[in-house]
Formats: sequence, C-alpha cells, structure tokens
Amino acid sequence: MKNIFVCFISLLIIQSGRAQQKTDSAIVAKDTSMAARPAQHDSVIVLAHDLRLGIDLSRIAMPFLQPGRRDAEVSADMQIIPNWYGVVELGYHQMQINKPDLFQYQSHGYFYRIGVDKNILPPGQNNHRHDIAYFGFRLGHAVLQQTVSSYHITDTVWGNVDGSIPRQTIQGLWLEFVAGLKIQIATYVDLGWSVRGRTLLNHPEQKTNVPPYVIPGFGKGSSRQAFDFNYSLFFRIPIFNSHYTLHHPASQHHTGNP
Amino acid sequence: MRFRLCIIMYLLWIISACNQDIHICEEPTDVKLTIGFYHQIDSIQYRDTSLSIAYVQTLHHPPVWLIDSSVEHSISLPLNQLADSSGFIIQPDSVADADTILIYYTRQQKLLSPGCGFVTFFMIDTLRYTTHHIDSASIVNKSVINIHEEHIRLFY
Repeated sequence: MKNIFVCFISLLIIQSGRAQQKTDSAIVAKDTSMAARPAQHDSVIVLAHDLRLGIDLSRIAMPFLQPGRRDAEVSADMQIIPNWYGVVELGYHQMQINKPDLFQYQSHGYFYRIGVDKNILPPGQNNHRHDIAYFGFRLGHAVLQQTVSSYHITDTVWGNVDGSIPRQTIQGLWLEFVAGLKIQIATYVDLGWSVRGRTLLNHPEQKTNVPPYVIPGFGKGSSRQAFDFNYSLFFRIPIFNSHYTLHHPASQHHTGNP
Repeated sequence: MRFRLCIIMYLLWIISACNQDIHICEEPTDVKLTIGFYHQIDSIQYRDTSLSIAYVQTLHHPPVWLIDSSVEHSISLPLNQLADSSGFIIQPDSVADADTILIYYTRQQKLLSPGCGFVTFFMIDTLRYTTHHIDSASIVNKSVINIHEEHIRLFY
C-alpha cells in the first residue's frame, strides 16, 4: 500500500516536471523559429479533435477509505477551439451503513457534470502536443435514492423507538472549479490529476429528515462546500482534424532616426 | 526532496480528512423539553425564580420519577417519542396539590449523523395545565431540538 502510494505521488510530480520541460522547449523552439521567419499576420494550424475518455483511478481506493462505499467516475472531453475543451463527466455512487444498534442505511445514485476546460500551456509547433495544464468550470447534477431499512432510538423513560424510513429521492445541484494536468505517457494514453472545489446551489437536506450521507459526485451531504482530488487514466481516440486560422496582430515597422 | 515530502504529507492529510469516521458521535443527542419557572409581578413584568420541587413524574402508568426533592430554576424533561403528547405531574414542596401539564406536539425522526444515529425532534402545538399553583404558562420556543433552549415558561 505504501509503495503504491509513493509510486502514485512520484508519477504526479514527474508529470508536472515533464509539462514544464515541454513548455520550456516549446518556447525555445518557437523563439528560434520566429527569429528565422518573417512576421506573419495569420497562421493556419491543424487542430486535433481527439475524444479523450478517462476513468478516475482514485475512486478505486474509496472502499478502503470508507467501508461500504463504492464510486465510479468516467469522463469524456474534446478540444472544440484551440485551448478550449468541452467536458462531460458521469458517475455512480453506492453507500451502505450497517450499525445494528442504531440504524441501517442504503443509498445509490448517479451524477453528471458538464463544463469547459481552458488549456494554459502554449501550443506546440504543428499542434502535435496533447499535454494540457488547465483550469475549468463544471455544473454538476446528482440524483440519489436512499432508504433507512431500520433505526433504533433508546428511551429509558417512555420506551424505545424502532422504525424505518421508505425510499427517498434527493437531487443535488452544484458549481465546481477545476484545475489540473493531463500528460501524454504513451501513444493515445494520458495520465492526469485535478483538484476541485464545489459549492451546492440547492438545499437537498431541507426536503428530507435523513440528510444524504454523500451526494454522488459532490461529496459529504452535510456540507455546502466540498473539495476533491482526482487521478485519472485517459485514452485518446482520434476523431477528426480541422484547420483553424489564428489571427495575429500586424507587426510594427521601426523607421530610422528623425 | 523536501518539496516531494511536503506533497506526500499534504495528500496524506487530505486522504485522512476524507475518512469520515462513522463510529464517533460528536453531536449532542439529548433532546428534552426545558421548562423555566417565573414569578409574575404584574401583567407585564416577571422575574425568574426557583421552585422547590418535591417530585416530577410522568403522567402514565406506571409513572416514572424524573426529579426528586430539588430546587431548580428550570427543569428538562424527556418527551414521549411514541405518542403525540406527554403529561407530567409537578409537585412543589410544602403544598398538598400537584399540577399537571400536558404538551401536544408533532414528532419527526431525524438522522443526526452516522456516528450518532437517529433522534426525535418535536414541534409543540398546544399546552394545557392545571392551576392549583401555576398562575399561567406560555410557549416561548415551539421547536424542541436540543436541551439548551427554554421552551415553556411556568408562572407562579
């Protein structure tokens, strides 16, 4: 477990280093080429519209962190215009809490997030790069069904209380800010991580006497804000390429001494 | 090396924070009706007072003694979670007759937290009482969700 964790952290740090190296070399190459070529007003680049499918590897660890909990999350993103990516994320959540002397709780639900990411790394020549360092925004929505099959309240004065609560459907809606890195590690294979901050837009706890333990895709149901970390594996599927014209401002001409 | 160690420690902290312990109850689970005792000076003014109590018991069979020989400014009594009303008999010291108070309410079970389990919250509807020694009574807080707030005032 320790070795796996150290490996995971090392991969994370190596990715950050590789991104910076490629950025530096790209800038140097760009500077060299710019010095050799005359100034241009427009340039045409080949824009790759690859479909990048990802699976969140950090969710695999969830049952070890919270017994009884299962999560799965997949994502799909594609570059729409240079440095802007449209993103869709889908997931599933399942939770079971068994405390025979208190209560037994089950829940399961689905979520989806849609949003955009902005790549802040400069583009490489011929647009062959697929690494991105990005920030973005998501709008998330979840539907959760939860059931309390039994609960027990001890009362030594009037008598103990035993009961159950039938299935309830709860929805969550939230806004999310994302920042992260996706680095190519092999042909058509990327590895990436992201950190996320979320804030709830609705009040799901007001419509039920059982506040959701976890809102799928959001986090702890008793909090209005949540933070999360993802570590994902991506597979890029080339779909099509397009030609995109970049308009550059005209360069100024310096005259001789007045 | 130090930077990598900081990253590892930071992520370990995040993961440990994510590990919600469902075996620890950190919230107070005591939900009781709190009754304060007051002396009515006139139609507007009153002051809090202490009541010398011989006993307080539940109004059901068999009765349960809740308070015995005590001088209190206020008392906290458990409400019946199996019915929509609770009755109590309050017997002050050195008097023959006791007073009975009946509280009518609605109940709702609520999951306090995974570590604490369920508790019952009450919303007081009406209050009835005898006037052997009680001058009047008022509901100051209808929502009974803890033990800290005063819910009913009895004026002597």
